[in-house]
Amino acid sequence: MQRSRQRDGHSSLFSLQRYTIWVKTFLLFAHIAFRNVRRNARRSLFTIVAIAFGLFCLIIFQALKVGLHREMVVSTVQLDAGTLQVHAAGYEVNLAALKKIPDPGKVIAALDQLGETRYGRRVKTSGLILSGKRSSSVLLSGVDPSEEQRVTFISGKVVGGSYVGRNSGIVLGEELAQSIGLGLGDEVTVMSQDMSGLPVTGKFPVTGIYRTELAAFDRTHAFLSIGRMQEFLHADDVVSEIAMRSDSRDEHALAERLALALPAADYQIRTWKEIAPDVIQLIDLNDATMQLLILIVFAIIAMGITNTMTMVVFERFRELGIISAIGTPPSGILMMVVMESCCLGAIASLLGSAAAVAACTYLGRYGIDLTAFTSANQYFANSHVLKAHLLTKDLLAANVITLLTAVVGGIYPAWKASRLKPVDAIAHT
Amino acid sequence: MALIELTNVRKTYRTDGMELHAFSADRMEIDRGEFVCVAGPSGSGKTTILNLIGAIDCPTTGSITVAGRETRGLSPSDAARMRRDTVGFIFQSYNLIPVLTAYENVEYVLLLKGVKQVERRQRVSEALVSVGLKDMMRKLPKEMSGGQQQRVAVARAIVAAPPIVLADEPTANLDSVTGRHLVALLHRLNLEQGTTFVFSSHDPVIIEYADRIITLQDGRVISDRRC
Repeated sequence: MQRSRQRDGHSSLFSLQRYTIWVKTFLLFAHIAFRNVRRNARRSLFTIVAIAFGLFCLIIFQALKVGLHREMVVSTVQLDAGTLQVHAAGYEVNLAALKKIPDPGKVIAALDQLGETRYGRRVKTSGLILSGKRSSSVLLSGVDPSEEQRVTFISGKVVGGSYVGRNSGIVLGEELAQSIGLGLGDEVTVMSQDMSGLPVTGKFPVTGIYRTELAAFDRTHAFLSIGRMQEFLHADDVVSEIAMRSDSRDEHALAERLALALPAADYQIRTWKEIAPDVIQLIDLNDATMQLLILIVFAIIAMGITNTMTMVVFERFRELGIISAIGTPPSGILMMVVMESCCLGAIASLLGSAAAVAACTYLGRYGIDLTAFTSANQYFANSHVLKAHLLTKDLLAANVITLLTAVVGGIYPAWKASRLKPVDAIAHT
Repeated sequence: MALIELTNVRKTYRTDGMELHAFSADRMEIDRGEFVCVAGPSGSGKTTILNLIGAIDCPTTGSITVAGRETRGLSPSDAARMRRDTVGFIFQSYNLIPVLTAYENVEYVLLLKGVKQVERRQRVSEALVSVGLKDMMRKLPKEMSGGQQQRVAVARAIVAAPPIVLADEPTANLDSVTGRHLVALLHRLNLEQGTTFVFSSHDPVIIEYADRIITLQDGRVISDRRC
């Protein structure tokens, strides 16, 4: 028993020694690899700069893409859609007649129970605005201003007069006001249909003009207080839409939780992704394009590394032969060359990441002004400045991919090196 | 049993469809502790015989046994292991790893063998002291003269105390004084440690020290005499 214990103790000591020697050998190979990188400093530098530049570009593109997607989502959610919208069951976007939500208080109670306090009750219908001989079709929204300000950013975009108040008149987009020749204080005629489908007409003073960064929205959206809208449409206490904004990133789960309290027979719940599927499609398309770009860039990087390491192996043919002759196994030579390749990748990763983080910090603060390209783009309703948003996981992933690429790029020359016959290598001049 | 045994060995190279008979020997034995010089003109097969013994190359036909182990048919990994454990190499052009210091070049072999750090440090220091390079341990090869580099190569070859050291024209790139010192050093190691040395050389100094001279011509042994 004692002997067995002694043997076990000896065995674990032996394992520890072996482990230490393995580590030391590994470090020696790493040491050789690092010094070999410095050996041809100019060539190493060019390779490192090429890899670092590729990584830098990818991190920047990725961060700008994330920033772009966030901007698109913010524009979609905070312009009008909200994170979720609740309607009466059977609601259809293009249906002209109003569809009343059965019990708006129940919806509000359900939202309160979920801890979601940013919601807005709306009465929404289509209409026609007339001013003299000019007219324009619009989407009329009756909103509760105090609620609506917590859901959308329109109240912050008022450029003349004031946002919707309890007793205010109509608030128009600047583009619409200009196109039909209206200004603050002017009276405008609004035509629409009431709850029973009969035409209704009303006159409202223009008390506010807003301007988002999206002209198309400004041309087609007009706002009244929900009370005046209900009065105008002969729809007392009617609410046709409740929009809510949430910080939750999983709007689908939120919708499911809400649906538990609101039976599908009476209510229809839609997420912004369902309301604006084009945004998701565009985001998916962007992601796919980015993945293709990553593939191309890293394929180029891998080819560059392979090329460099092949030259390295060719130049050190004789040296590798000697290393093999003095007893280094093929696996050791393979490891040595791959490590050199990894060294190039690691240095490039550090440099490329440092530069990219600095650039992303700058672009995150100041962004890139894309006004010239995005003035008519619905995904930039809030701002035309594209800001970078660097996610830690993207930074880590880019670095991991770079190092993997360095390994992959180094494997072929390393494999060739490990297979060389010492007799041929030593005779090589 | 001899330390090195060659039986019916033939080595043929094929280039551009032509066959070149580099070396052949029906029977050759080298015993433990011998100081052998393989002499002969250029192209006579001197380097080939060293490569075959050191398992750097394998014979076309025949059998080679080194320290009781058949070298023919070894996998590249097994051949590397056999070289690591059995043979020390000294090449004509020093051939140190240029990015490692003298100390690290010598230590490298012991690391491959898995020698513990304390023992490693001691053996590397002893090897470098024995070749007179106590003060050059931290120097890179490019900071040393040809003679110094070759002495580091000798230290590397002997540090693991292999039973056989193969030296391919080790004095060819050295001046006569440095060359003589080097051969004297190797001879001393041969006498003190009983290491078997096999040289390929036509340097008269090596021939002078050798206790056996095998002369080759056109890949064949034309004489094998003990001095």
